[in-house]
Amino acid sequence: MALPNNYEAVIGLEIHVQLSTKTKMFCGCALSFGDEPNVHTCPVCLAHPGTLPTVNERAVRYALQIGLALDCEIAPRSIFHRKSYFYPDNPKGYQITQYDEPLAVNGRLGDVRIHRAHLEEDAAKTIHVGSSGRIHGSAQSLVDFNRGGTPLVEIVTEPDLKSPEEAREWAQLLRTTIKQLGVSDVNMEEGSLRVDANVSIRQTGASKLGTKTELKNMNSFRFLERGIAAELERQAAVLDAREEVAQETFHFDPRTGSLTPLRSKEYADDYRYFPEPDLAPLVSTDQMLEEARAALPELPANRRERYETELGLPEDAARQLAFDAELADFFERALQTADGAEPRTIAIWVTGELVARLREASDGEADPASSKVTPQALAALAGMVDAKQVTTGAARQVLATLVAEGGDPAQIVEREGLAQMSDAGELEAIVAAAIEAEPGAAEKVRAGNPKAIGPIVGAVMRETKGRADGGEVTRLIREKLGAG
Amino acid sequence: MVGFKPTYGAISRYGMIAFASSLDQCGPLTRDVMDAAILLRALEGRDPCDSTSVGIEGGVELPSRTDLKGLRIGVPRELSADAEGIETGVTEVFERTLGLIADLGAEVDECELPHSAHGLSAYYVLAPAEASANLSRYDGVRYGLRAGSEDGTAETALVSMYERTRAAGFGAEVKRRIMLGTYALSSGYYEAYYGRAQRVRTKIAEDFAAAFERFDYLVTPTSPTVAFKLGARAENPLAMYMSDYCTVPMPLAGLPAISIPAGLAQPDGGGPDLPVGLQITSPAFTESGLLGAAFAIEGAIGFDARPGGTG
Ligand SMILES: [Zn+2]
Repeated sequence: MALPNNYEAVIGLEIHVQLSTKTKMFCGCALSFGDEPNVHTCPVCLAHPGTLPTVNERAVRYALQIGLALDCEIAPRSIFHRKSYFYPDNPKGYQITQYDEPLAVNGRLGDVRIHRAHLEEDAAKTIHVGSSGRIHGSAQSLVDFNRGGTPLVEIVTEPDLKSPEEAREWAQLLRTTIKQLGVSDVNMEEGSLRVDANVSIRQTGASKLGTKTELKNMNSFRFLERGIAAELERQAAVLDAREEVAQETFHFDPRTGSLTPLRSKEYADDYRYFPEPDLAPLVSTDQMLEEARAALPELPANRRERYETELGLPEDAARQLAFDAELADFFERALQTADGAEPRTIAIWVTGELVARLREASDGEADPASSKVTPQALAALAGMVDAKQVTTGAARQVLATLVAEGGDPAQIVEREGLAQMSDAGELEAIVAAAIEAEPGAAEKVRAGNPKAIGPIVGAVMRETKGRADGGEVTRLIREKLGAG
Repeated sequence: MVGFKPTYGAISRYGMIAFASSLDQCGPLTRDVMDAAILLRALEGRDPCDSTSVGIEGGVELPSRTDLKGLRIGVPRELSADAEGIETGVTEVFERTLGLIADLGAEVDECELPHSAHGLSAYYVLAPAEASANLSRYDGVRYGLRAGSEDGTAETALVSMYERTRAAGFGAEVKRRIMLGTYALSSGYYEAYYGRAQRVRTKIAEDFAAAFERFDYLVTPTSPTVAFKLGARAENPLAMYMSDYCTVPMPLAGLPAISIPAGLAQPDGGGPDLPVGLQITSPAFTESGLLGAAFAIEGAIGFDARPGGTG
């Protein structure tokens, strides 16, 4: 259900990205996912007395790359703060994070302004036994410190997003951007990319922001969209009832798709921030900045620009490719093998027909790399379309076969007799027979009604099984009926 | 007893139980200045495990000085004659010592550290604030004392375990400081307490920097009063805090300082003579010079007192 017209949504995102460094943010323990609990720990990340943190240089370099990729200003000097709260996932009793002097500020990605991006450490993982997965009501809680101390970059956007769909699309663009940097796995299911949303609504056109609520634990792009949509609806109902939206934090339950409020006790909001005295300020040298800049790959925004200006792709296809790394990879590889095919044709077939067929075949997912269609096959098919060796309709049939079975398009065309008719005489004979079979339609066309041509074209196409080019067929019929 | 506090960053803090991280700096307690120098030589150095450690460039020279010729020694009034609650006996011993310093060839003159009178207040905001965070890790989850929890859900059991463990494990003074520090960092109070204390700290450091443009070393009494009996001020935390009056500005500015025995004096309320200390301080990372000057003064004082009644 969409938000009623009299309201508009104001959405900002807070994103946590786990960096794929070898070791943790402040100690030498290896990063891991899915290992036996508490094997990647040491006195530092378990907060034993007398231990001190030291900054992971690689994490700083990765964070610089993220900051630059988001077009942020990099602070010449940033500092760490301590954020205090008691919870078993937080062994020191404080998290080392950045507060009022973050590493990167004032950026932009796509249409969304970036408020800040900063470095911090991840909490350990608490597992609440015998409950909804939350401590409230659970019988026992266990702590796995393997994750504790993993380097994180937290990215905070300005509230520039206007709808759940926009939020999902933008989050996907962010994921693609960071994936291309190679600094994180950015996997939402595994938690290396975590997206929280700040959501509020206001009367359309109002300048004052409404009270915002925070949504957590939406561990897929679909859930992100669904969670925000549900919260927008809830807020609209609250306002419709002439009540006030309360500032709350909600936890998204992927099993039920519903939002439950977190009790304020679990997240006390006085974190007693103060500058971390155990760490010196971060000062990025010119050399570090240069290296980070040099390590930036082609980012989606630039790639889209190049696709449009250098390859002449239509805007939609350029955007779709550039903002989806897997799709763009496939396209680039197809482009390399293409002999003869226009980039534009390849792009249109990748973003259009291929994506549609793949989504049909695998429940909404469209990663061509894991399909049976090779980039070479797609490029070859596009080449055949460009060379008018197959019609568009026939090419669709070939693609369907490729998606289902894989293989070589030329062989499929050969096997299934889908080659475009190049023998003009044969086509003319079929056209003449069709005119004879549809005298009523022929009469109307002759009388100057071009729309009446449909049944004749249909008869030709049936006879030729899609091997004839539609444009050519229409031209021939009109010529024969003197309706040129 | 000689107490030596090196420049912040001279010695690694790794392995030391953290109290107030931006002030903590371990140092030797020794019989004499030479021993302090020998230990410092072994202790100082950059440690990759402590990113605030840098070590002392050029290392530490063992002291050999027997005079103070050519040195300018400053006497900050705020931390000596004008110090709050300074005892008559302490002033007498301190002035006698200034005479000895002049006899050793130093040029002695008064100087000002205008903000140092606020040092104690700043210290008792900053140190408890840092301590309140540093002591959070003693929560009974991973090591150390764990007091049993109340029955109930995991959540209520967890909170009661925290509360009971920390109530049982910390003493009264520690609890007092945790509460002070937590309060000073609370939202709404941060600027009034922590922020202000940080600005005082900066001012104090600037005062020292200005004084060291005119002087090589500054000297003060170590404490406004003579030594008091162990535990004598346990019931009166404010009086206890006051004994740090002369010594807190130096760690706030990160400077090295040494305390050497200067003589004996009667406390203001009467009673047997008790030890009085002399504190000498110098610019950051000038430990070799500081130890040299302390060595010369120690020799001139020739302190050899043994505690009354036990010797
Ligand atoms: Zn570790």
